[in-house]
Amino acid sequence: MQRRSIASTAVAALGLAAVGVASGPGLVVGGAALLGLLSGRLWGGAPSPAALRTWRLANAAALVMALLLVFLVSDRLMVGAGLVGWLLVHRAWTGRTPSDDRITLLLSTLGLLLACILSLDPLLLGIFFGFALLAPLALVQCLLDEAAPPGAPPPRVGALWAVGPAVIVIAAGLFVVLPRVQGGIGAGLGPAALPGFQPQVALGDHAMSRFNPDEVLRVVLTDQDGAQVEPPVYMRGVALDVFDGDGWRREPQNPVKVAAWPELPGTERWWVGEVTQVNTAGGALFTPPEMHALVPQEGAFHLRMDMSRNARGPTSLAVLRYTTYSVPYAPGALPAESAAIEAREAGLGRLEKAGLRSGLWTELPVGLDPRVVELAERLRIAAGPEASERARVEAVLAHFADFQYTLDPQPEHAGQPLSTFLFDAKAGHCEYFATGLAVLLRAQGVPARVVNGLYGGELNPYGGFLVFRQQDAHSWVEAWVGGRWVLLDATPEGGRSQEPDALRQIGELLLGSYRSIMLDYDLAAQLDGLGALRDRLGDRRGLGAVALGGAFVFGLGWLGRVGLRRLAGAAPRRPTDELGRLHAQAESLVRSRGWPLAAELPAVAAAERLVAEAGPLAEPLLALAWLRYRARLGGEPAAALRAEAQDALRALRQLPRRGAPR
Amino acid sequence: MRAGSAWAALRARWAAQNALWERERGLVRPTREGGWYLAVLAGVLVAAVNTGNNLLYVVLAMLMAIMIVSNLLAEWNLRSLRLRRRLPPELFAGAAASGALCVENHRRWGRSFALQIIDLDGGSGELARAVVPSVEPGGEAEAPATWRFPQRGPAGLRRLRVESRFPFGLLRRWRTFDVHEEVLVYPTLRRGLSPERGGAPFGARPDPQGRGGDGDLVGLREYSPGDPLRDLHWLTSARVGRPVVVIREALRRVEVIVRVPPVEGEALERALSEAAMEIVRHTAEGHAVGLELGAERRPARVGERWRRALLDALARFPGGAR
Repeated sequence: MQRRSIASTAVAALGLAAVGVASGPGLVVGGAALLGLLSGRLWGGAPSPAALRTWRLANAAALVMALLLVFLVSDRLMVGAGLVGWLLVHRAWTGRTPSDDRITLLLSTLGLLLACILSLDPLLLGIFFGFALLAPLALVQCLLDEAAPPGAPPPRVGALWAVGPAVIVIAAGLFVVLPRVQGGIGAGLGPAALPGFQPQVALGDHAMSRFNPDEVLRVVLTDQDGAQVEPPVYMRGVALDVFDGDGWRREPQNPVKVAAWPELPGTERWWVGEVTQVNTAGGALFTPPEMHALVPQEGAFHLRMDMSRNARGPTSLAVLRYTTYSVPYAPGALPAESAAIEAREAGLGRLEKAGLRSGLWTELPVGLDPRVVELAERLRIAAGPEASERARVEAVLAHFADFQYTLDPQPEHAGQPLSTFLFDAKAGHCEYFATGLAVLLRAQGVPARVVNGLYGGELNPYGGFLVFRQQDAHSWVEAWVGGRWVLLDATPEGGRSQEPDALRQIGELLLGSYRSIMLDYDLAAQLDGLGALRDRLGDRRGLGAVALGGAFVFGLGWLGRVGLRRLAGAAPRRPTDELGRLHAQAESLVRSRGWPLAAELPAVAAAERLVAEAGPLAEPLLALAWLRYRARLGGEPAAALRAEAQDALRALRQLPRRGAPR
Repeated sequence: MRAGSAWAALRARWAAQNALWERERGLVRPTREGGWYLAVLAGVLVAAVNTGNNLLYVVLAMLMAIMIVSNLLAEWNLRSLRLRRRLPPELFAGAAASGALCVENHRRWGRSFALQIIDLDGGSGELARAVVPSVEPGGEAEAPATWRFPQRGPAGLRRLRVESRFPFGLLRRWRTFDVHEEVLVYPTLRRGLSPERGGAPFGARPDPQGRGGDGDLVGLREYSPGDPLRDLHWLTSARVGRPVVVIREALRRVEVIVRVPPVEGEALERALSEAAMEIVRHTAEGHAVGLELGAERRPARVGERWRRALLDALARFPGGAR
């Protein structure tokens, strides 16, 4: 196999690898295409005309099928990836020329493009690096093979191997300089939504994330002294208000834009959390319970909060960064009996008060199993007739002590109604525990709501942050006890922790760096960079913007040098021999008098045409042309003809201007 | 009318500057694959701007970097090159003339790759083309090329173009050089009357002056114009004070005088072609050949230079259908 074929095959393999890395189906498509590509290259033979016709037909059929599938299936990008893979296989089996290898490289670029849209995996960066190194070399080799005479070996690449690193350096510079403007036309292809954080969640939905190790957020959580807060930690996501018997939903509310306020809670102890969150929850912001303030990073978005204290940001940003200020909490830490009504009302928003008064968080669904209400009543009686609100709540909590936690529910229990969980199975995951607790509390008249969020977190000692993954998804209850919302968690502890893995933690640290440096580099970061540059260079107004703009224009100017430098002129090369100079002077004289000289004709013929048009006064030019020929072709010494040539030039000055009366 | 003439003058000036620019700096166009590449780049640009996806910006930056490197290397590849022709000594109209196109790399470092050298005619057509795979820095390379001139007479070769698709085959870049060269194209060689048909063609007759002999010395005589200089007897010339040449016995030398009849138009061209053929044939056989062309009489002589002089005269003879 020729060197160019090896290089182009390697680059094509990178393109298919990118598709494979980007998604699961992509792995299948990329793998199959790679097998076909390698088979075709290794075979190396020239296809017969019949085989070529067959391939052309197959190509046409593949294109038609791809067009149909685009309208029939939802995963159109995978259809595109399959088409690219097919075209690569087709080239590998039928193309044997450098031009075919070049087309292979272009198709590989399409593979990279699709991979970028499908995924943000950091492995893609490594693939791009390899592509940037190999693709220019492959293109150079294609050209050298094309330029070599038949049968002769092509010139060696030699120092041209440096084009790959040069491309990488220039690409890095362009990546920094290219302005980040986001058109936003059409639907974006952001990450899939995390189940359990939609406006409506069925029982069992939230548990779908329990086996997904994808990172959701990382938070640097410190206390008032700057000490790291140890896991496990609750991160509140979405509070759900209404239970309809099969699932929970948020009460439609008008979220209120809240100006960020970086106030500390006014207590002796507080937590500060710097959160970096992948926007997979429809804009829901994860915050520690007892949050008092939230500040979006550098004002990147407006904060909205509703009556259920759900903090929300925009859905358009891929990554959300913000800082939270919260009070340390203890799950189940119920307030003392002496909490006053004033304390009950203190600190509530107007909407929240309205929600409490309306009974939003004590509603029970129509058609609820009467046994649930009976159970709640039994538990209230068992707590004692004079039991306080706190005691009643503790009694309800204690009822779940004998229940089993099931990570993988039995099929007959999956999707079970609440009554089955409370009375028959007595086993389930966190959603059931939270739902049961909330419903029983509501049946006793205690306002309660279910909260879907994250619990646990893994401390990454290398980066000093807590990582929360989809498998940390958890449900618990917030109950209105003693004048405030209290976090209550009825789920047993089992199955909620996982063993840390050093290799994975280092990978997560690198992933965080990749995200912050590569993925989150935006216009704000560019302007920050310019500002930093300006500060370094001194306070020169607009220097940073001018530098960025100048670098961009300079880059465009390099690409458009031909057009820009057309404005420059250059003197045409003039003849060096003396008779030639005299002849050139004569031609300039003739043109200056307005007479055209046919540039495509030899000098003598052009002079003859001029004589035919201008008359005898142009004959000195013909004489000069012949004198020049005599010197160049006849071997006569130019010195002997100089005087005659000069006389002819002097005589030519009698030639009138074209159009002037004779 | 004034605006029109001003616009025409502006366009003429622009065309002249464009031609100057092409000669001095070169022009660039995308190839077929380059066109597809630019289309993909445009698509990636739109996708990156639309989504703000930084990975797409990485791909975009990479594609742009490849194009930038391509443009820079392409210009570098054609820098400090000099072109020249190596034409065969004799050019005949209508016949393939095999020569070479040469390129010199005057750079101190960096080879030039994948050069195509084209000899342009007055329009945009090609007279000859050659491919040079690479040229070392400070070196030169040549590749065979074939010219074909349609008509006899003086021909001006004006421009040589060097183009290359280096480094990636995505862009085609070229520079045009003014390499003026005036050549004389001899008439097409066309076989005419056979000497066997009726005596020597065009009136072949022996030279009464006894020139061209290379046998034994048989005498001396005064120099007359047309005598070869090698026949001058210097000692005798110095003694008598005037040029004297020797007379040698001719060793079965055939002297042929080719006479072109006084015809015009196509017939003249045909006659000139046949005369050229006879000159070439007889000089190749070692005969002394002379020429009667219009009012001009040239004696029969031998030698390569004389042959060229005769063919020159045929090429420059005015008239005919050119």
